[in-house]
Amino acid sequence: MMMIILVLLAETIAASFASYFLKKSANTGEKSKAYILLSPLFYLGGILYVFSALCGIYLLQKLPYAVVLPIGSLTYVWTLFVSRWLLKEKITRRKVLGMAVLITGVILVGVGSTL
Amino acid sequence: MLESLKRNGKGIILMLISALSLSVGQLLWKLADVSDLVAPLLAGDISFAGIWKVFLAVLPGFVVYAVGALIMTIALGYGELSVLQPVNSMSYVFALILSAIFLTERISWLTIIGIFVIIAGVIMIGGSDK
Repeated sequence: MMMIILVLLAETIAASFASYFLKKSANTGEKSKAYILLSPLFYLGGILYVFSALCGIYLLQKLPYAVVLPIGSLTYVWTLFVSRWLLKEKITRRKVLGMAVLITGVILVGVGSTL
Repeated sequence: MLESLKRNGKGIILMLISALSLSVGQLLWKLADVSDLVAPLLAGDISFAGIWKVFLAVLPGFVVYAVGALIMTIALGYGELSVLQPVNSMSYVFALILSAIFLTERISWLTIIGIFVIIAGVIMIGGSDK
């Protein structure tokens, strides 16, 4: 049980930081987007995404899809914190509300997959 | 709200393309039964069927994933992370639709409601910067 919770946290936190590093690598200051491919942060983000996906595959062997899918959307909650702390983005009430709606939708899809 | 959607339009559209490519990659891997494929390959049991699956579905799936990640990165350059990353959840929606079309998986009414709720959430977040 402890292991499953740890992997769950690893899956979602890794995905959240993956998107943070991808965002960081997007601002190369160069005109051509191809420079993104030269940024180490792009590959760091990619590796974190692969790690997150592997955690997801592990979880699917332990828990039903209907549970793994909604819990995966915890990623977006961590991203709100990461955006606020590391990117100084404003977390408006509407963003939080939209997030709550989105997560409700993912839970419905998850539960719906068992019907 | 409309202002915010317009301001983030480019990022949102690129995120949608990225989400679509992630779900196509996922579909390719599902078609190839990646989870059933990996174990025999690791055990050194290389069959002809396994090899063609690797070349026709696994590798293309990987390429599609990589391109999706690159498009996502470009997208994230066009707006706030807290606005754009949640758009990625549309990949769940695309994956469900693709599975229904190509794998004839059934979609329940509750899942369809869930899809609309996800879309509503994405629109709310997309219209919420500043």
